[in-house]
Amino acid sequence: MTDCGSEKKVSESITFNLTLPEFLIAEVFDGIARLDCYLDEVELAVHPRSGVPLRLFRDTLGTVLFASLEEPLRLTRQSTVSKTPLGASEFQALVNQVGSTFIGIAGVHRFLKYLRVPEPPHEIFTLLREIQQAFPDAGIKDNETDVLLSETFNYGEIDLHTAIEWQLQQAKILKSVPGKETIVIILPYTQVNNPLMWTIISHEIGHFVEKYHSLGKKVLGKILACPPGNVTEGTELDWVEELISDAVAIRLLGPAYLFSFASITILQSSLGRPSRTHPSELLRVRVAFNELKRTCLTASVPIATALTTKLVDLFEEKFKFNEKYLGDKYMGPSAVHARPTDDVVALITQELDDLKIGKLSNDSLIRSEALARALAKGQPVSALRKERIDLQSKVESLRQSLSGSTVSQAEIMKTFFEIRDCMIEKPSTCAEIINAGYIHRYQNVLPQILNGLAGPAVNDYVPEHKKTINQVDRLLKVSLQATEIHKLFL
Amino acid sequence: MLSSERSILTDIEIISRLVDGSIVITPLIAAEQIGSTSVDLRLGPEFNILRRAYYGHLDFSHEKGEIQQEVRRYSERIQVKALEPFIIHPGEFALGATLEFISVPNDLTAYLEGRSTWGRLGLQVHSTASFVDPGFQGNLVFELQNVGKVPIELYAGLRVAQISFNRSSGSVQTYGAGQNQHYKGQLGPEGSRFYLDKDFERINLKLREKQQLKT
Repeated sequence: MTDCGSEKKVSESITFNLTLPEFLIAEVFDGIARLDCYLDEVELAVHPRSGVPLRLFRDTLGTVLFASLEEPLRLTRQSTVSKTPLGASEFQALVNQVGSTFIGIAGVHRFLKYLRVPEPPHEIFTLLREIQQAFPDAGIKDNETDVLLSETFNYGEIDLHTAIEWQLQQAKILKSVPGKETIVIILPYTQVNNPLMWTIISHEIGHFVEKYHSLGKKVLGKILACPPGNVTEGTELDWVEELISDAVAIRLLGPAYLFSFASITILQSSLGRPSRTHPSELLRVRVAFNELKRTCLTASVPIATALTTKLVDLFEEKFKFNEKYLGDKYMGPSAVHARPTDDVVALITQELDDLKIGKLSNDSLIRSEALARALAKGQPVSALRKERIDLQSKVESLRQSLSGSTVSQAEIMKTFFEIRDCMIEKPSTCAEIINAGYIHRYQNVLPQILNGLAGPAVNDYVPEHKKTINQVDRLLKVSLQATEIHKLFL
Repeated sequence: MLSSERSILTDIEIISRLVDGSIVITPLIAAEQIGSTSVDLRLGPEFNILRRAYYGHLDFSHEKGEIQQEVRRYSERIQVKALEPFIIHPGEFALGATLEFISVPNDLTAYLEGRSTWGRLGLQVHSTASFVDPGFQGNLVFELQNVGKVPIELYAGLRVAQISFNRSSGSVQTYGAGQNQHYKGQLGPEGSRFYLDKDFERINLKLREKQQLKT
C-alpha cells in the first residue's frame, strides 16, 4: 500500500474578530432566526395546525424579538463608527436587552408544543453511538440512551428508571422498579436540525459517567482533603459533578463543546454567579479551556486555538464587566471555587485518565480545520482525502509513460494502482464534522451576520440568514449520514 | 496526444482532476469505484416518495409560493438507517440521491448512467435526467423506478450508478452562472423546482388570468 502522506497543513487567516457586543448580537439574532426556521418547518408539515397560532408566533418574532435588537445594534454601530468602545451604561443597556431577548426566545419556545412535536433525527443517534464507543466500559457503551426533544429551552438528562422509581416510592406502592438506568437526554425543539448544539449530549453522557464511577465524590474528597466516603451530597458536590461532565465532554468533542456551551451561556446577564446546582459559567469555561489545552489544542491547530482563545477572552471580558458593574464576585464562596483552576482540572484529569476515555486527538482537529474549508465552499464533510504534494507529479509522469514506450505495462499498472489507492478518503468522525461546523460558524457565519445587519432594519437580513442556517444544518446532517454509511465499508 | 478535444475522460485523467480538485467526488470510499472511464456512485440514505393519498394533482394555477409549498408537501422524505432497506416495489417511483457530493468543473460535462448489475433486476436510476451541466455542484438525484416484476431491496451505500466526464470547454453559460441553476448545491433527493422555470411562470400567469376572467 502506498503511503498517502500526511495531511496538508492549513494556513489561513483567522477572521473571527467580533467585539463582545457584536458577538452577543450575532448569537441572539441567530437564536431568533433559528426559531423562525423551525416555524417554516411546521408550516410545511402535511397537516399544519391552524394558521392562526403560527401567525401569532411569526408576528411575535418579527415585531418583538427581532425588533428588540434594533437598539443594541444602533449602539454597536455608533461605537464602530466613532471607533470608541461602548461606555459602561451603554454596554449595560446592551447586555440587559440581549439577555432579555434571550429569555424571550426561551419563553416563546415553551409554547411551540402547541404547534408540533418533532422527532429526533437519525443523525443524533449517529453522534450518540460514536460518543458511547469512546468508553471502554461496557456499562456505558451498551447503555440504551435515548434522546428526546422538548419544548423547554434547556438541555438536560434524566435517568427515567430512577425517576419512575422515586415517583412510585412517593406513592408508596413500589420499592423498586425492574431494570437499570435508562438515560434520556433532552434537547430543545429548535435544535432538532442543528448538529452543533447536539454537542451538549456529550456533557449529559458525562453526568452518567461521573455517577457510574462516583467521580464527583473522589474529586471533591481530594479538594476537601477527606475520603470520598465522607463527602456529603450538596451544592459543592453538584458543582464538581458539573465540572467533571464538562471535562468529559471536552475529551469527547474538543472545542465544539466549549463553543456550544458559550452559545447557551454568554447571553445570560451575569456569568459569575453560581447557582445551587451549577458553578459559575466562568469557572466552567476556565476548566474546559484548561482541559482543552491539556488534550488537543496545540500549535498545529492554529485556527481552533485562536477561535477558542478568542471565545474565552470574550467570556473573561464579560465577567470583568459583571464584576465591576454588577458586583459579581468571582465564583462565590466555596472550596471548589477557592482552589486554583489548574488544581481542580488536574484532579479531574487524573480521574478521567484512569478511565481511559477516548479523547479527541490533535490530528482530528487538524482534519476539522481542513473540513471547515470545504464547508465554506458548500461541500459536505463526511470524508477527507489525505493531501499528497507529489501526487500531481506522479500522475503527470504516468501520463507521459502512457504516451511513450519505455515503461512496461506491468510497471504502468503498478504505478496507476498506487495512485488510485491514494484517492480513497477516510471517513470523518462526528466530532471532526461538528468541530468543522463550529470553525465555519465562527470564521464565516457569525461575522456574516454583523455585515448583514448593517442595513436599515434587522428584519431585512432575516431571510438571508435563515438560508445560511438551513444550508449549514443540512451540510452537517448530510455529512453525518454519509460518514455512517462510509464506515460500513471499512 | 492522449485524447481528442471532445473525448470521454479516462481513469488517469479523472484521477488527475480529482487530485487538482477540479472534480470533486466525496466521499470516495473505495479505489475500485474508479473504472476505466467512469466512477461508480453510491446510493444515499434519503428518498422522496409521493404522498398520493393527500393530493390528487398539483394545481398549476396557484400562486408560485403556494405551488412551492404544495410540491414539498406532495412528497415525503424518507431516511433509512445504515443496513435498513428501502424497498422499491414494481412500478413504483421514488427519488433518491447519490451518497457522493459531486462538483463538475466548467470545462467538463458529466453523464449519469445506471449500472448493468442493477438494471438486470429492473432498477432504473434515471428516467430523463442523465446529463450534468458544467459547473454543477451537489448530490445527483436518482429518478428510481422498478420496472421489474419483483420488489427490490435497496441499501444506502450500494453502487447503483456511474458517472463519466466529457470535455466541453468553451461554453459561456455554466451551471449556476446563468439563470438555470435550480439545483445548484442541492443536498439529497430534492424534489422538482419546475415553478422556478421562466416558461412555467409565464404559463402560470396566463392560467391565473384565465381563471380571473372566468370569475
